[in-house]
Amino acid sequence: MKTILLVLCVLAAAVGFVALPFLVFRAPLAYELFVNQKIFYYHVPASIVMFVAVFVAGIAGVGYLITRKPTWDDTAAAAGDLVVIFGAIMLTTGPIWGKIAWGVWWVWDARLTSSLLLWMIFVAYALVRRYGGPGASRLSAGLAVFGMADVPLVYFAVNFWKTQHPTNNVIPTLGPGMREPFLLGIVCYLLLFIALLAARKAVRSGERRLHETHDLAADAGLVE
Amino acid sequence: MRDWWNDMRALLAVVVLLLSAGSAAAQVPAKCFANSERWAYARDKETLAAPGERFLEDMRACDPSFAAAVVEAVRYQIHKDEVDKFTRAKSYVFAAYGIAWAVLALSALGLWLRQRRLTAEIAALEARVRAAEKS
Repeated sequence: MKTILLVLCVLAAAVGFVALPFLVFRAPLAYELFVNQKIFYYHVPASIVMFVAVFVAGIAGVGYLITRKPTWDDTAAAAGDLVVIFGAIMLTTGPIWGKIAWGVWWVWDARLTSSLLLWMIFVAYALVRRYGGPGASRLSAGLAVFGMADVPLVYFAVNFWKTQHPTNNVIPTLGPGMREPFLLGIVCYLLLFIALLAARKAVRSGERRLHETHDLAADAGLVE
Repeated sequence: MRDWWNDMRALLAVVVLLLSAGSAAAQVPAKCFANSERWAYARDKETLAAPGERFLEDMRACDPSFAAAVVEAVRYQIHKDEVDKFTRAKSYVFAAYGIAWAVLALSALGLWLRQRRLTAEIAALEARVRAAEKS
């Protein structure tokens, strides 16, 4: 497990720190958006990986609700934390792009508001897991399923409502030289996601083992 | 009589000069920008650049060097605007990349520290349990 994790981290670092910046630097400048458009190569992959994390958390949550196996719960917890991390990247890089493109950091349009709502659902998810006490696993699994249902709303918000955020047509219409760094950005973030998911799952199983050892120690009268 | 005739000749010369200057002044704009209605912007039928291009076309036909001077001034202004935009946008792009990598690095560091602490706690507890079992 440790070796796989190490290989994943090295791969992600190689892609993220060597190949990706090189391709992003070489990518042509977009009309009007100019150099600001290069934020796109980090912002959109972060959003896509956040959606992947939401689905992993939601599906693992359903798996836990059906089977009550701890491995599903660990996967859901790990993915839920990653939604917060990749969502934080999306919600900070997006407004930085917006400040240049629109002149304001934030607008309350449907895409931005629903994305913020999705992120806040998973912040609540993390808080429930941390402070929910007994039954927190089931409650948080329900929250993850609720968050998963919000993903189509976020994705199609630009089609349902008139928004300031660019539409979903941007990706299929990327010009030559722009597609490669974008795809590499997704690969890089997916590798990081898998590595972080595995690492967080390892921490979760460590916490479980600590609880079990703690119970053993309590039985022996060593701890309270 | 001769004086009167001289005065009349001078007056006639002035009138002829004024008339020819007036007609020349009236002819310049008519030749250069005779159809200014061409510059009107038909919002539904064309892009915003289209009337500008027609205006430039007329200006080139009127006075090519003046048209070149105007284009040069506009080009300089655009260059200046783009350089300002680039300088400002560059720092924002670096900030965005910095934040993205910092969030990921902090999260990875937090995980590593937590894992290390857990391993140490588990090892300490297990050692105490083993010692208790032996005694």
